[in-house]
Amino acid sequence: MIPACPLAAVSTGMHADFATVLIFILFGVFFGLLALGIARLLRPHNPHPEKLVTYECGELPQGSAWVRFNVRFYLIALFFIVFDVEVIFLYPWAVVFRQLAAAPGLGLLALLEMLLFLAILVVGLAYVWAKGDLDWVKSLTARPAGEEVAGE
Amino acid sequence: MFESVCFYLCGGLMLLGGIMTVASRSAVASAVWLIFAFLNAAGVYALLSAPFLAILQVLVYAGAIMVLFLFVIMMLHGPVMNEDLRSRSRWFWPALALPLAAIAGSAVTLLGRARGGAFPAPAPHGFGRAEQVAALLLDRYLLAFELISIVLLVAIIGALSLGLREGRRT
Amino acid sequence: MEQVTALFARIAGAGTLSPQLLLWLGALTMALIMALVMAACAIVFTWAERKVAGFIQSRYGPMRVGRWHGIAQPIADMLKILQKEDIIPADADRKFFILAPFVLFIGSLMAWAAIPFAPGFVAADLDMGLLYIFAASSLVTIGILMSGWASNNKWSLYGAARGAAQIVSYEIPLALAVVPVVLYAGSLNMTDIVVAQQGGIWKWFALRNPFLFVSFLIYFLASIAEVNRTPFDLPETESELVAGYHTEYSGMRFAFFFLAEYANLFLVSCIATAVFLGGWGHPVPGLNFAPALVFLAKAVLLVLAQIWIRWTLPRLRVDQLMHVCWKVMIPLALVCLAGSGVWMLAFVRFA
Repeated sequence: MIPACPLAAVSTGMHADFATVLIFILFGVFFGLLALGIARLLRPHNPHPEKLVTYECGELPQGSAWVRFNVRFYLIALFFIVFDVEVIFLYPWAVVFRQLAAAPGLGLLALLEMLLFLAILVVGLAYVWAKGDLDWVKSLTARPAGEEVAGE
Repeated sequence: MFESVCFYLCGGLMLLGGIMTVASRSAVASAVWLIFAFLNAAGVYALLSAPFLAILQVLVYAGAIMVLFLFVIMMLHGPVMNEDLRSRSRWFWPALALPLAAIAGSAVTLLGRARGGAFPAPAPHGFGRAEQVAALLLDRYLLAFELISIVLLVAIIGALSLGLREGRRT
Repeated sequence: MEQVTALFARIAGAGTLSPQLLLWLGALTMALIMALVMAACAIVFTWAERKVAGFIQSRYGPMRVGRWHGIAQPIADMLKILQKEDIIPADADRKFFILAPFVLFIGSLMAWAAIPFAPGFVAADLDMGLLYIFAASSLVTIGILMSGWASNNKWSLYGAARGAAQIVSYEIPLALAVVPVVLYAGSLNMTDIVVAQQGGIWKWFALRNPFLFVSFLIYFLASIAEVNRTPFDLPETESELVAGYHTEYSGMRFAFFFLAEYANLFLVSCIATAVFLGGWGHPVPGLNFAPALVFLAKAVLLVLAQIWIRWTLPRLRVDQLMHVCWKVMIPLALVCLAGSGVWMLAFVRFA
């Protein structure tokens, strides 16, 4: 290894890979700015207040778009976090399972450990399912009439 | 050398993100600054030889929890997103001063201690990889690991009952 | 990456460039190549999409530009879009309106860093490449929500909220479907996963056991939902939401949404190729193709399948969308995971 360059620390292994990721991010910014810059040179610029009006089927927009949203989106995001965390816990287990499966007995133990973990979460899924909260339509029918809820 | 520059840069940007999160007057701007802070935290983890943690930081915090935050902001009344209606609370300056004091304190302590040695200290082989996490999870912390699933189950049920209450109120 | 750095070293002459400089040059070159791959996706697949759509609907599609079957149509479109006026609505949140296409584009570009096209031809051969790709593409959700919110347009916001809800929902079956592969490969590194599938078509993970085949189907369907294409195109339903979250975008900013969309279409196909379909390995023994060409051919076939599905099937309703994800795909993916684990213990002997 030749320590000739000030970037000597970023030489091998994991840090080199993450340095590549950093380069990708910086290049993405550069590429975006470059494309927008080229477009800026080529495109016309004829501002007119009517062009800057928000599109709403050709009419003048009624009120702001920043209205209250259905609670359903929030519930979906919450379920997502729970299951996302669950899946992420599965990954380390999956990585070592092959090694454990080679050893007699250990593989079965590892499988049972994970099945127990999954089973408890399946209870959660079953609960949500039984409560009907996986049905998008439920909230539509249960909602009091006249309530403005956006997004469906 | 380069790694320490990156480390302090990521750390500094993370702090900036955190400060802007509390200082921004629009809720959405706060959320975006928080994402920025999380991404820099991931950079810090990556530099400290914890790649698994770095990736999880992006996947769970920036990718999942912030989506929830943005949905919550959308679910609340529209005006919350409007900058004019959100004024700085009188707790703003104390809230800003406290972490700054904490940072200054730990910086002084750490600078007094950190002399010599490579930075970041070389990690043991395989440190921070998924295999190592798994070895700990399935062996030493097995009980905690199984309990996590119960915590997640409680989270589902709690989310549901909160959501139902919210749903009834709307 | 090794190939690229080796090329640079050969051009400059051995020993003249320090390994670190080579590394940075290599990374930069790979970033450029991946950005060009993304641009090529947009160019090739828009044309392919219009021709396939034409074929399916018994018409020609683009025929004029470029003499042969409108081959130069995407180039003409690109030149046109470069000259379009850039409009930022007066009511939009300017900062985030400008930031959102960058987030989308960079999230997509980052994910490309870990795709192994050929042995040694991967920009960042991360230990946890698979999780890294999921993490990078989760930034796309943020970009979509940001664009929808910043536009301050009702269609954009509804499209963005729907898009985010759909993408996060389908991320669960997508991530679950890949876990059985990790069981077999014993690694999250993309190159390792591909290498574990070399040596004939029966080594491909999609064909290792019946559960894995179902996992592959789950992954494929969930990936269509991830990229918001028909039958899962609710975020951008043109008949009700105008264009979804990018309604207010024009000119080059719109082009970035378009670019990211087609690049993501190809990205999920590349992941499927690497994870389920043997990567650069091909089924014919004794023949020597360029590995990158085999890889690209498989990924392009998957893209064509997605285009075929898009122009054949009608759009799902929002309740059907959630039903398929939470009540069909997730339970099925869990069954496949458990089944694969049992299968491995029962039938597979590891040395």
